[in-house]
Amino acid sequence: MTEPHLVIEHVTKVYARGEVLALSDVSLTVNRGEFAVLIGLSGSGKSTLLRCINRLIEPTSGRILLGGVDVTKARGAELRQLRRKIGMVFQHFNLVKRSSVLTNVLAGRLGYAPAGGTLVGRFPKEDLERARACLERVGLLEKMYVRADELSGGQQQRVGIARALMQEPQILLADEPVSALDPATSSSVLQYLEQMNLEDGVTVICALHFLSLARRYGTRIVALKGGGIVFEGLPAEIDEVRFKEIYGEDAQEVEVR
Amino acid sequence: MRPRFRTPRKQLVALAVDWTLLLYLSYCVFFLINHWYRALVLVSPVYRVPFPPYGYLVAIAATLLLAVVWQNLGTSIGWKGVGLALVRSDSGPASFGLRLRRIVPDLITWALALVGAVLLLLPPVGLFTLLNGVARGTGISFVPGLALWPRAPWPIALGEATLCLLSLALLAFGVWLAVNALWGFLWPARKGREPWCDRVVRARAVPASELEVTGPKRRWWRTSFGLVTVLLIAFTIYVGWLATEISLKTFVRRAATTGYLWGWIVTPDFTYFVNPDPVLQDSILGALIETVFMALMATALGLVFAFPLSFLGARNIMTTGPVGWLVYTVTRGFFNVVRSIETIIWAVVFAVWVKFGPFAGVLALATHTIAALGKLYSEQVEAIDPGPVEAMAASGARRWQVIRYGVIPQIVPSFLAFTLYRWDINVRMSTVIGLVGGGGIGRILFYYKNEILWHQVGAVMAVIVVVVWLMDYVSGRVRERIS
Repeated sequence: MTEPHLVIEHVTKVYARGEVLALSDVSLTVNRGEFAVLIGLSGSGKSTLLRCINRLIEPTSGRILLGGVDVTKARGAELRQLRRKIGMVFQHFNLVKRSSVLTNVLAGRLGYAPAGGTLVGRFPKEDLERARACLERVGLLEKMYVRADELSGGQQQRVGIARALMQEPQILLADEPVSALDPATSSSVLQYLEQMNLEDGVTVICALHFLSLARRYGTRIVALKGGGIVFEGLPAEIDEVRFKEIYGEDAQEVEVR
Repeated sequence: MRPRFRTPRKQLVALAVDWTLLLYLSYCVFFLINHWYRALVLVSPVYRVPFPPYGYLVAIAATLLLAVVWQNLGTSIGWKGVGLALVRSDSGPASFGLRLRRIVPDLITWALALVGAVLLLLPPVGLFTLLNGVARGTGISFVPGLALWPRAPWPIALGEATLCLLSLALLAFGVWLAVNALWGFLWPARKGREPWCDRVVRARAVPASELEVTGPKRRWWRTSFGLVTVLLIAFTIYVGWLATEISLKTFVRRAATTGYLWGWIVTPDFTYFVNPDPVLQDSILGALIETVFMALMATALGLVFAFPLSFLGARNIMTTGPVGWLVYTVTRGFFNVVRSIETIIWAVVFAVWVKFGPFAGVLALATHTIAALGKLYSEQVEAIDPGPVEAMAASGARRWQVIRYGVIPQIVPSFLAFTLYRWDINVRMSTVIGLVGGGGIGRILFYYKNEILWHQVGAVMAVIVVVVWLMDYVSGRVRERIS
């Protein structure tokens, strides 16, 4: 399967009246079924690039095609239809802390569920079944009625993954999903992403901080620096020299298992 | 690369702030002049030194000049307030000498403008004086006492000379202002260049947040910012003290005159606690129940309207487009206008509208509650964690679905707490609006007060204290449980 799934063409993002150039002329193609990992220092534009894909951030110029459809031109209902296919997992989980795990997971289905029912908190039966299945998949079925803020960090991120699963996404954007977690939990969370990638054939684009994790899970690595792509290739191709190029002269690689 | 001029808007805001402060300071000075004139010269207490009509012009011009000079120092309150700092072009710290030199260009324009005004205005004014003097036969004189024409009565000439000088100064000021604003600031700002005074001394204004902290902070008494702030506070308290006629002497001396009042109040008369007062046709207890219900209904009505309005008045929900901005601004404006009109005024309005009685009171309280709760709610909506909102928007949810699932669960506890708190306030407020026909216990309180039945006033007050205390305790405990 080497059909291109996501095509990013010359995307530029300028913030705050021309003060900050977050992305400068980024072009990238991600094939269907790939696990692409974005690496780079904080502020290199990883989050901005991910958010441009589902238009949480409006790119200043450029074009983004998802399965041949131009995302940057979509408006209103059309944009919502597109966003339904794009799952997203966040660094700080972005769960509603006071709501139950089940409600949080069901919220991932809002784009599909009948609008009138959701106003009074009713979801179709099949959505409830699906939520159950998604929670079972991330091993949190018994926590279904627990408040989200009573879970540990790793568990909260798994709820975040279950919420993304509810969308039955074709593509998953993960914005540093493990930065707020300890190393052991990080691996288990990334394994769920890998599972989605391998079993469901979801294309994954994941921003990561640790190069060791990027090497372990990525099928391809894209390095950003100062808003531009400085490296694109297989994980094995990143050697000492390339590493210094991406992270700067003073950087030291840290091993995380 | 030449540094770009990035802070024109900030500098203008800073100037406006400083100018306002200095105008206020000049008002304080005039107030004190008046006060001390009356205190030192034995004039009637109502006599005030009149403020001459041209005084406004002079004050406006002088304070603006001062504000600009203060701006040039780069240590003004305005600069601190908007977060601006002055550095050398090579980003080194700006010395005091440099700051002083930064004043020079503005003073030079001021002097040049004055010279220009003299050159421009002197010939026509001189000619006018000459012709006027010749035509009216009063003689000619520019300088008092030095008459070119022996018959000149010099006071006329003096008046003309003063007028001439004053108009010269004002014209010079206008020219200076125009030159300074256009050539020194606005034009360079359009071109993205530093203002004139900065280019001359090789300095630039940068956002203070970008400045690296080197060494300890300068102590407040060594900065013009700190000194002027202290001066402003001192002036404000002093002028405030005089303006509100605070007098410790009167307070202490006349304390004994209220003795009998206290005596009556602490011996309350509970005759009409349960039995209705024959004149009022109502008992204290009955009125009290009415008051609590008034507060409850007002809070309920306020809640119903404030809840949806609070989303329209929340910046993070509304400011996604021009229409949203408009709705946000209008809603916030509505909150502020309605909130700034006191409940007692609303009570008067509604007492006329729906006649005296508890209904008018409920409407008055509810109106104020809508605005006050709306504002508090909106601030809660603005303070939510934006994460879930982002997550739901990313999953393709509709806007109202995002609000229903991402925003409302986050704000429910604080909404409940504020609503309870508001009920508490409404009970207290409803005692006051009885004064203007709002019904409830306030009506009884003010009836007894006006009839000088102070024992009964004491009884009503005791009952109010008990209820307010109880409400405070209960709502405090409930709020504790919720959060």
